[in-house]
Amino acid sequence: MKRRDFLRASAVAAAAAAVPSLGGAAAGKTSEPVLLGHVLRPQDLATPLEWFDRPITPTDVFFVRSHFGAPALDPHRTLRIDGTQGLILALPDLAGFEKVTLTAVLQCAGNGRALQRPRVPGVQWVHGAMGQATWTGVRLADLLRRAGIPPGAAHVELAGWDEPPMPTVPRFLRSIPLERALDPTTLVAWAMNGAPLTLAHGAPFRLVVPGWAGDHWMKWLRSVRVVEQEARGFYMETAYRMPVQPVAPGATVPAADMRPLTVFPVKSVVARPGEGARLRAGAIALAGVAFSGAAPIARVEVTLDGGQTWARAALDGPAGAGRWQVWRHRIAAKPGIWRVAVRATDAAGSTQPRDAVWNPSGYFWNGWHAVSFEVAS
Amino acid sequence: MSAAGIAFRRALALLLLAGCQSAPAPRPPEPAHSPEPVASSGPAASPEPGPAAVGAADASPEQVIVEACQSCHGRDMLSQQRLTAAQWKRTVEKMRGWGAPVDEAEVEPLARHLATVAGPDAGPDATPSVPAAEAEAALAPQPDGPFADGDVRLGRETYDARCLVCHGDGAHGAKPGPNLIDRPILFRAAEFAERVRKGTGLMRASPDATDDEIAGLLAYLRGETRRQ
Repeated sequence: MKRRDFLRASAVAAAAAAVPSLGGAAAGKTSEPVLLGHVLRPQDLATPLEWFDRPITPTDVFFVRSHFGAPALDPHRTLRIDGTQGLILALPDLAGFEKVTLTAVLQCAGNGRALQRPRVPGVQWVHGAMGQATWTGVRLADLLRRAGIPPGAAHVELAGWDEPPMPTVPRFLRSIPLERALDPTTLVAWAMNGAPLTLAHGAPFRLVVPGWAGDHWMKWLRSVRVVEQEARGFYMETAYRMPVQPVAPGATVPAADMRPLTVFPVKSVVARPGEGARLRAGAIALAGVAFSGAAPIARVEVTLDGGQTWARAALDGPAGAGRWQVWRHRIAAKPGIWRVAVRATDAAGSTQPRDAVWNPSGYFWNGWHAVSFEVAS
Repeated sequence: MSAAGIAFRRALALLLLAGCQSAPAPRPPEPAHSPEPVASSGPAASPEPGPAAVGAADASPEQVIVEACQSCHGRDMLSQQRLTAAQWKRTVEKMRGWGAPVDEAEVEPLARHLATVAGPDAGPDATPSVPAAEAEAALAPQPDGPFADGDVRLGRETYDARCLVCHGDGAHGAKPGPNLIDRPILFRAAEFAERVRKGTGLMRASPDATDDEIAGLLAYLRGETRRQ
């Protein structure tokens, strides 16, 4: 009985302690920018689709993914690079290396998981676990060469400052092949969109691995170890793996038939008009973004008849693997209900499938994205 | 983990009740995983809890969610899923393996319950809009106010008396209290104080915690470092 009373009392206390203003439909009606709160503690927040009509996603509405949540804000944190010499670097020490700024898409491997059928466990991202930013930092290759790369090294193991809630929970640990670590686009970044990284985005340092899924972009970067073998542990050996061959939806896949995911596939979305929009007849502007981790975008096509006929959209901005371009297309629509779908093809010849390939953790959804809108008379 | 989940949570609840009714309890001579030292005051918390069925009747799936899941993540992590009972069972087993205090006998009822409230037929999930400024502010450091310049020794004593049994030696997290080291909330003193005084989930309220004790806790926890 006492236990019951205790639990009841604590449930009331928990309800009282809940943040009251985070549930608001009211929030969406104001003009202030919002994120979609998939998980509030720790934060898993998505960018609303309407922001994907422009080259750069503003930092304040850029999606946030947490395994365990951020550590405390501490600009004096150091980064350790293990090698034959080894380095311990604080933020000012990076001034001794060449500064690099590049534009790249950051996308969570699980973006689109909620669209998989049958459903799979994990944060139920729809489209909003992606964004494009400019990233400023130094090349990881420069740091590794200064630290000294030991003979026989083949992988680089990455650890962050974020702590699991209990010692029995596996730490978030990833590795990337040494070749990818030495790629000149792989950065240790301290700035995003021209401003120092915010805590939610990895301050003071995060890794930037253009073209590769977000699980490699280690936030709150703490140590980089040059090793001979791929990292072990839950986040390498169980999570973030895809079937080697496509499998039937709902299939159980033997562990031996799974391998770590790396490069995200070709993808595009419709940002405008929004789902359910009501528009006046006449010229209607369609827009969205298209990108591929593997290669620049070659073309983006739009269909208004379920894929029977396609029209080519215009592309804005510089093309490149791992960065997105804005696509635009105008139609003269008669009154009625319209459904527009988009598909992209990259320069390596990969095209989005109508339906994404199902996999047990719902990674890399890239089916055709479609929205319906009404044109009034 | 065997029958430890229910027995552990029950013993913990009794301990916390004892803590509510009196001055802070002395530091238990054993780590949190052994309920024995605090069980001596009552037969209900015998170190040999008997069949798990006793506890199973005691803990509804909703209670298990509050006690075993929400120490580490919000309920929204569960509510947005659309999983079958078999998928939920695998998920719960994974979390048990990571230390979630769920008893073996609670797994099936919990999985069935979750497949009802967050199953394939549960309908669309409404994802709330969060003002971007609020999301950022939720992690941002705030002034210490009345909780500045705490006494580390008082903080250590307060931790041992009030917190250690759940959050573990060194505050790195234990069953069921999560890690407290290097967390943003340590630099959000007012929110920290509210959490201590009002409690949350399985964490009991400590309305009697003084400003000095809370300031001390912050000083102590900020000074502790990570394991490696």
